Amino acid sequence: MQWNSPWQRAVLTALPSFIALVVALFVGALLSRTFAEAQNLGNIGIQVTPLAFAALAETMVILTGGIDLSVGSVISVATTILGVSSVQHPWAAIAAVVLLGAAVGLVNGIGVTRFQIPPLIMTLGTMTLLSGMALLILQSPGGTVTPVLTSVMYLVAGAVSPALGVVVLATAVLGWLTLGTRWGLRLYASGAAPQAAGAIGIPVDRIIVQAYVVAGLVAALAGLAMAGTLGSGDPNAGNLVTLNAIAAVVLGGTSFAGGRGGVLGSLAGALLLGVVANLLNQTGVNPSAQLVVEGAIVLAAVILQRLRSYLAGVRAGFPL
Amino acid sequence: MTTELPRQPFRVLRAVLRASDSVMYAVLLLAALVTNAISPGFLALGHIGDLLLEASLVGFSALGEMLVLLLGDGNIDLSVGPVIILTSVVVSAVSQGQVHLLLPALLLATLLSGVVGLLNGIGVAVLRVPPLIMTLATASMTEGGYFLYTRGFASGSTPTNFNNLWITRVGFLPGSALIWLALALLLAAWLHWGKGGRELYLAGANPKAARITGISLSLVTIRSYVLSALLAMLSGLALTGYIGLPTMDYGTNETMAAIAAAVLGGTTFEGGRGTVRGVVGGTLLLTVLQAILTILNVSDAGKLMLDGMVIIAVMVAYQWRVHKTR
Repeated sequence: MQWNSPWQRAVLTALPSFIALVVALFVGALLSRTFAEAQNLGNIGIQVTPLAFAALAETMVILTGGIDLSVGSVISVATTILGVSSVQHPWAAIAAVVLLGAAVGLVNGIGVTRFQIPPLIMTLGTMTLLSGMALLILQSPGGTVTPVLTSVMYLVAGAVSPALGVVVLATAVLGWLTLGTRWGLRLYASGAAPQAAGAIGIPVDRIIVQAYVVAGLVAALAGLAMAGTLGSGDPNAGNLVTLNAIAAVVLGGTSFAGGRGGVLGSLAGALLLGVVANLLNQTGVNPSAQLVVEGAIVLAAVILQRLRSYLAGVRAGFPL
Repeated sequence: MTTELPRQPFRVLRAVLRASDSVMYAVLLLAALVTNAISPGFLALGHIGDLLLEASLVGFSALGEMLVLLLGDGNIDLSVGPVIILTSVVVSAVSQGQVHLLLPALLLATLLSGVVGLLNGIGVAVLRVPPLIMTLATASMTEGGYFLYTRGFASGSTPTNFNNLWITRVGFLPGSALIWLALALLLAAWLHWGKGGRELYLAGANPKAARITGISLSLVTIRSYVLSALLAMLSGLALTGYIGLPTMDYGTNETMAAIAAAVLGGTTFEGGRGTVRGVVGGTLLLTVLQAILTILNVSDAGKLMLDGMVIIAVMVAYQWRVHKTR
């Protein structure tokens, strides 16, 4: 059987991380009695939702061969906007957050394409700017987030969190966008081989800007989810999310070179990180040790991926 | 370019303008002069010494970051900040303010930083892990390590003699600034004349050609990462000496400052381009900008926003010039 259609390749890339996720769930059930209880599984869903959205956003940019450091600070600003104003004007505040996400993506995309600024530096710039904006809106954690968001986030039906359902839906939509449309094909081509893509007439720069805008929109969703989870604004809410989102994308098998991998793997990566973090909490592991464990997991995953492509190379007759 | 003839008399001027970091130095000079006009005494020798002391705290690690960025091909060191804090924590905890314990403390800090650098280098060069991920992982593990060790509260202090080394002034120059500038000169000489330095530039600019001439890319890569970690350690030592106590506040901020200073100084991500002169200037620019904002009583929020805008504006300016001169 030939495994060559984009869908099949996406499933294949994501498979190891889904297997790791299942293993982690089994290990969790063995190690901790409370882990597999419906309430805890529902909690994992709630805890992991912002990270999962952020990982989806990050995937869109990494597929172009770039990186987006501003995802976390979009989340921070979103929670401050919602914390300050969403009780009086819930829908206006939500609309403002979504617009902000799109605008940040547009600025990042234009900087990276039109001005050819390296993505790391461009998004470092917007990240710094946005963290200033978050502090300007709210100097310390506070404010109240509209029940419209908190009630959605904390709905739990048995072990299933509907918020996580929205994440799965978003993954499906992005999966269709990247794997099932012409735009997606152009995105993968622009990320994998920008010069070749340009040579055959693909408007590479425009596609990349659009990818950054999509990433900004999804980052705004992560902000809504984070605000709903916290119930208040926090100018530092997203600080740690960016790096975790990058870790999730890497765990999901998406390559930093661009044009390889996809949103499905990132969803699995984010869930895996969420399950491991929850498990470490449940088993009473020191929160500092979690940093070490997370670093080790990411390293192990990348080294395994390298090993796999090395072995594939050997099998194909190209040792190196 | 059609009008080549009348430009002859301006050859020197053009050469200066084309030098990769002239814009940055012009901005630095302008910023300093404007601030001096707003707040007289800003450019008094004593205050220049203060600024240089502050600059040196970031300066060591910015030079290290440059050595890694020079490799090109996505090489970057995100573990700089955690190594700085690790150094601060270890030196204070081991020396406990006593001179005879300083040597073991310094040895341990060197060993630990060296190991982080070595891990980064081996991961990137041998295991071929993307540098961003490799150094992110070591950063997170280093952070976890010192949080585990201190349980969140750093203890101990450094001996007074050690602190004095960094803050005592020779003329108007504090020790830390002197050490930084001397080291920068040394590094510049090594990059310019040393075998390793030439290898680094060649490997960054054209890895294929470098390999053909017999340069070991792995060795060059590992060397850069180890040097970066050791320079970050020096930042950690200077910071601890300056404060006199261990600090655990910064971390990622320190990493971003080092990268920003290196990039403001004209170090590119494509590799093979970047100078010690530029990075020293970039560090000074970053310091002066912070000082201006403090003088103008700008809040932390405003500072961050302006920092972001400056990073983007300088990068746009660089790119614009590159396109014009091509």
